[in-house]
Amino acid sequence: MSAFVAMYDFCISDPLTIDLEVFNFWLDGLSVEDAADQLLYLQESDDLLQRIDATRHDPQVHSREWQQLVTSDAGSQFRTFRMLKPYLDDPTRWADQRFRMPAVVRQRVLDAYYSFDDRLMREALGRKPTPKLRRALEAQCERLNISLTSCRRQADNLYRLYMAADEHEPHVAAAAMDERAAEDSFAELADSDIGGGHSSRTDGEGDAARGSGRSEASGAVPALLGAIQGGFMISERLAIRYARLLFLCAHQFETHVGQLQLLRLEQWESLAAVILCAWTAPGSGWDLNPQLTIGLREIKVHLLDQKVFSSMQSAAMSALGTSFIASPQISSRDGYGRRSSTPTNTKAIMTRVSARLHQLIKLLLELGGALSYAKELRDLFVDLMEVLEVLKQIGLSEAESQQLLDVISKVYVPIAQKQLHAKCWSRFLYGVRKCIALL
Amino acid sequence: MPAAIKIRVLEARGLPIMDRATELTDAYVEVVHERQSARTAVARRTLNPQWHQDFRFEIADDCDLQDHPLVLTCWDKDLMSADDEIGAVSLDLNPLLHPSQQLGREVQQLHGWFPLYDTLHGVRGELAVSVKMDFIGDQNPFKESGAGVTFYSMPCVPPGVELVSLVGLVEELVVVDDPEYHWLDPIRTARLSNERRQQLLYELSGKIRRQMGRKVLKVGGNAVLGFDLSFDLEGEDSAVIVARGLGTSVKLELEGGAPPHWSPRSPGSAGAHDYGRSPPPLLLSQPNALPKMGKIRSISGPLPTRGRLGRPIVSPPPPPPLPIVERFHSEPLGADSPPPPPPIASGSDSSLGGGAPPPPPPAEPPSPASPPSPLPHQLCGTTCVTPASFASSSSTLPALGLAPPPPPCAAHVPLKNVSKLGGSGGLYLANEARGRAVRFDVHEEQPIKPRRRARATIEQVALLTLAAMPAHAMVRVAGVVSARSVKLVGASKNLKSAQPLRDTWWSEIREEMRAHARSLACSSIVGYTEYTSYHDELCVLSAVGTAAVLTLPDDLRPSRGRDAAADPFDVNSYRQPPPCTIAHTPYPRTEPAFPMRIGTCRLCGRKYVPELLLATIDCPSDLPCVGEATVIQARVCRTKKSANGEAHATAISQALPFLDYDLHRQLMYKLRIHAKNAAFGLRMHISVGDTLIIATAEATAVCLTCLPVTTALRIRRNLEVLDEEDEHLVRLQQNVEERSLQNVALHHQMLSVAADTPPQSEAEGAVEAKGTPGADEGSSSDSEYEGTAEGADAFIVEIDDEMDEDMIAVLLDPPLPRQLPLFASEAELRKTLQDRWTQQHTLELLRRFALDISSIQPKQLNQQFARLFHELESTIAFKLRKQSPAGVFKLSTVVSQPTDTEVELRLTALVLQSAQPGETLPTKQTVDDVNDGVEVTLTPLSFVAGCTIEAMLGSLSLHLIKETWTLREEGGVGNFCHAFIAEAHTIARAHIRARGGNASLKYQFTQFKLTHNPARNHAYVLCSIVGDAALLVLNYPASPREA
Repeated sequence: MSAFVAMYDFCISDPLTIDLEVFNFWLDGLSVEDAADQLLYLQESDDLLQRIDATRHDPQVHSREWQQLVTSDAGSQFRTFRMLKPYLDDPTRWADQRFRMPAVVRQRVLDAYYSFDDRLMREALGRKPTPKLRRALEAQCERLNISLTSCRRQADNLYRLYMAADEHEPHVAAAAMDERAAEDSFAELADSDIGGGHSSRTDGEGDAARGSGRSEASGAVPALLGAIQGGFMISERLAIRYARLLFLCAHQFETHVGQLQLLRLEQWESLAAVILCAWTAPGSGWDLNPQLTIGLREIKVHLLDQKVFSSMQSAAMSALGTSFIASPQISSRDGYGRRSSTPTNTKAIMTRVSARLHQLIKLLLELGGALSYAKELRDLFVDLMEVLEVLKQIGLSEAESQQLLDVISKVYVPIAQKQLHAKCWSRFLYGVRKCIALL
Repeated sequence: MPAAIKIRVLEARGLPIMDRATELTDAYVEVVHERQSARTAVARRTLNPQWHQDFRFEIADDCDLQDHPLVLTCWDKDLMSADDEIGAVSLDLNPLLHPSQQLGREVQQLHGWFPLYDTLHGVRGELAVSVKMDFIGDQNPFKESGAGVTFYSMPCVPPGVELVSLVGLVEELVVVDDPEYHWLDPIRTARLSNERRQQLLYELSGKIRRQMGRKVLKVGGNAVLGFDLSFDLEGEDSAVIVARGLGTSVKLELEGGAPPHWSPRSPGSAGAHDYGRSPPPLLLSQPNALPKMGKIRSISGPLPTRGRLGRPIVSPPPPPPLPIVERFHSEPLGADSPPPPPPIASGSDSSLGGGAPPPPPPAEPPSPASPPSPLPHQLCGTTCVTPASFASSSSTLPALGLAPPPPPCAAHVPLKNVSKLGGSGGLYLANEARGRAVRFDVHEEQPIKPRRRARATIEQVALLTLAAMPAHAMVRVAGVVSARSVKLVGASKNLKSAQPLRDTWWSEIREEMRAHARSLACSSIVGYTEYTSYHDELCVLSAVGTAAVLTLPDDLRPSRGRDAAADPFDVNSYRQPPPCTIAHTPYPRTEPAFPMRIGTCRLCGRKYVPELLLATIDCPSDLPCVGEATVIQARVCRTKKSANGEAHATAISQALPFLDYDLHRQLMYKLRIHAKNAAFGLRMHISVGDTLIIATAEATAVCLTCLPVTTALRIRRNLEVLDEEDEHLVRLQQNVEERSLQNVALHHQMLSVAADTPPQSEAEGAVEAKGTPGADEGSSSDSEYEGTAEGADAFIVEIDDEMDEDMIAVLLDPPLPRQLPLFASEAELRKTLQDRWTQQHTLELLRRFALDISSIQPKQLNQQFARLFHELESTIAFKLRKQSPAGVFKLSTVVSQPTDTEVELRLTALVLQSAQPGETLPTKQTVDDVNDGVEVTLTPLSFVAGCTIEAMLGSLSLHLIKETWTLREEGGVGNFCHAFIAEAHTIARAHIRARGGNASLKYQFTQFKLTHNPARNHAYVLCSIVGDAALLVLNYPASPREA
């Protein structure tokens, strides 16, 4: 036996260095001993163990000491993490420069701390982040095989991020914003975004959502991103994900019924991205652009007029006819390849469309009107599913559906009462079209 | 002369909630300097108060400016009860007084955010303050203070300035009562008591610097290099704090010869405006009295002082417990060389004594090319020092039978000389009372005149704390000398007696060091350090340094030096000495100072070199060596009986020589195992506890080409192999032998290759040549060392008992995993980094062990102790497993025994991250961060690779205390200390930023005392931080991409 019995030790590095491997063990809620075991297991093949201590003749003693070493190291790291926790929870505290680490390392640590499990987040989707949600998630973690600690952290992170973004919500600023300026900005947006929409359609894939966030940089995202990234110093990629997920949570969209239950987290993120980019305005936080919602309400009233409605319907039919005939390649290029675009087919489609067009436009109007009301807004995706259902009943291919919606958006322009209405409508349908493509 | 401090209290942020009801704080700031105070208005109900109030303090006596910090305390106003303290900022005003204009920039003001520190809660919020100082009138405002003197912690000349003259040692010692043991302490609050102590440390550090500054000015210096400030908290027996400042006073000038803005008074002019205390007579008469000397090559015959110094031994030293266990198995070098006595000779050698004839002058081949050699002074006596052994106060023994110079070493003076000093309870050990009264500090302040070597006697030995010599100074290293003294600190009746007593103690030690140097014919001791170790009432004072002959050119400035060299008529003109000069013996070959072989220098072939070289200074960069430098450590741990009072002191002073002997032996063996023949940057530490005495030493070992390759280590075992453990030990011993043989052979090869290849490709050549047979084509002078590699001539170690075995068992330090490159010397590190910027971080590792007294096995203690170090290193290696560091710079491993049953190891290391290929350049952001002062680098080195020092902004001196009574709630002692150290770094950074700097060089904890009591949920920690604030500019290398 050695006469020296280790009591305690600590190791402090300045600037702080963090072993991300151990950090992840901590995030997963492992105990020091478990983490040490994991480390030992990972190190087994490592040459460190090959360091045969020439001064020792008892290999068992050696391995025991080795274990002690690893345990003490893990213990000291865990201690550091516990000390860092307040800083991780509120990264603005780093400003006091108590615990310094290179910016790159800090970024990595924070990203790891704010990382989340997709399955758990999917559970949380569409629910307001509250302590209640945390309890609900805790009940799920056994099923998902996620440790309680990790689950709590993720729930708490979401909650804090939500609170921060909510506080940041510039309600007042938006209200006080000069009416005209708002209109201008909206007008600009509409132009730029529709342009973006076209380009992404020609790409054949609505991956604007999955993009780097640059394509939707003009939506509400910057403000949200600012709140999330500025307050929590997480990487832009993670912040964008959070912005989208928090958007879904804030409006408490229904995401757990019927077909919607089957959508994966990435799909939800893409949907949120589309809506954030299409229907929100800078300065409005995650609320939908008030110009848009008001505009849509007015359009709904306008189109309730039977005469206007039928003129629009007929205009749509004629436009559709030319459109389908003019671009057969769209049909031939569609991914399903069920049928080729022959004139007979086109005709059959036209008849089916004309039968359902009324219903479709009605649905869309309802949807547009619902955007103003938080309660009805929750069922946005359910309603969108209905739209999709109608399109399916018509028997349109994906590309054809897109075209149909595009036509519906365009034919309203000449009959619109106001310039603004035309823009609202096309913008609204742009969002719908994208969502439909993703659903 | 008066000065005005202008203080602007701006605002605070992040204050804690002091009022539970409102969750807000009513804060105001109280500004205190010495007796003056002022306070701001109360900023009601805010956590981020703004004051923007100006204050002006007029200080009549500028000593106060230096002695006392400016303290800004933030309070919470309470109507109902006494105000609560939030935190305080202590501002050292010295940087404002010490304009670093020598470097072309000065600290104009202290401005910035300072963390508000509370001794119980740590940092709570920040305070924005700006402080300026106005000197009123007067060209020469600092008559009584030491202002105007710049202090550098770095033991070398900082870049950007030139050394004009080297003055000498400057020291100061102040003793004050420790408030911790004040009668008031038990009744005042913990916060008050901590603050009192903390404040005292600030005041002490100011006072020490002021008094040192005054001494420096008096002798014509204007800066202190290698400044070291230490506090000895003596504990409850004497209840005093001893503050010791040590440094080398120098005169610096801006590069290019521009006069510094502050011209210090020369000694002569000092009298003109002197303030009462007349300078020591020596000072006035000496410096200019010396006629300029010509070159005197050698002096033969006995030295005039010989009669005084050389006395026969009165009392033989106590015989060692065992016959000598090592000896050379080789032929004597020549007829005239004395038979090699054992390295540490015993009393048996005294038969040689007495009337040894005066030695002949050394045979120096006269050659016009040879530099004006610093004359090896004739050795009058003996020496107790082997170049590779310590002349410690107790382990030194006469080798040639002449008495060591006064004061004699402990071992010679049996303990009958122990005498008690009246009253103070101090105990003299090993110090012969001498009739001569010498004012030591007078000697210390005396400038070393260039070429004073020509004096017939070495009257004055200069002690220099410099570790790196100016490039153009010529140094000849004789060996490491050390002195130790064991004292008892008793309750002093009054402070007045305590201070002179301690002054005397240190004076004696320094005088002893000088005596050692004199006996080695050395005129100076470089790399000089002092340290203490306390245990209860007992204290061990130690000093260690490198005895050397230091020859300084007439003018130290490199530019002037060159000019002089160009003048062919100037006989005294300075010429660059060959790089191997450092290894040349200052003592004559025929009368070696040490019992070891002396050979001719393998580089120049003209001078003589010892077999092994040991020094506390850094290895000069131009000294040619082969192979990689290795860090070697020696650790000795011995048990002792617990005792009290004089008996204890006696026991310790008897044990110390053996400890030193073992330490030295271990160091030597390890050198041989690595086949290195020189060790530089030696650091030693000693710790005395209740049951253990521990000594550690650390050095960087190199293989110098000018010295012979070491002989292999051979172990002769005189014990029977009885059990399994013995077998293991035998295997170990075989390993040791094999390793030693291998290394020796390797170095022989490398040397022979190095001799063939041009020096610049030395390293590569050495690597390529691995495996090729060593075709030795060295000069004939080499031949005497050849053939010694393979066992013909080996260094034999005999193992006679288990204690020997224990020693051998620790010789082989396990290699660090992944060849973790370990450095202990800055010079080596500098060479490796090649001025490339690297990420770096410091590691502060503290580990405490409970001492299980029942399971102490004295015969395996060293092995057990060594294991602690190995574990510590493994821990570091494990921590860095993912970082592939370019190097780990081990600053120090401090061993201490904070309580009777605890041993503490504290390791500070600097980890340098190797840049991945392709990202060798610092990113633009880091460049901006460094250059804009966003990032404040704290480095224990005196440089940051890849950065240029733009300005030095004065020394940093921080003293912090933290105490907690809720240790468990704070997460245990680990969390407590971690938070504390992090706070200390934060505060240091704030202070550096406030001066406009962005780095602290030589940043280190000089004091770290942690006491904790888990049962009472209590912990107390005290630390002192020193460093040099500096402004660095990162050289952004013009990469091809950028271009």
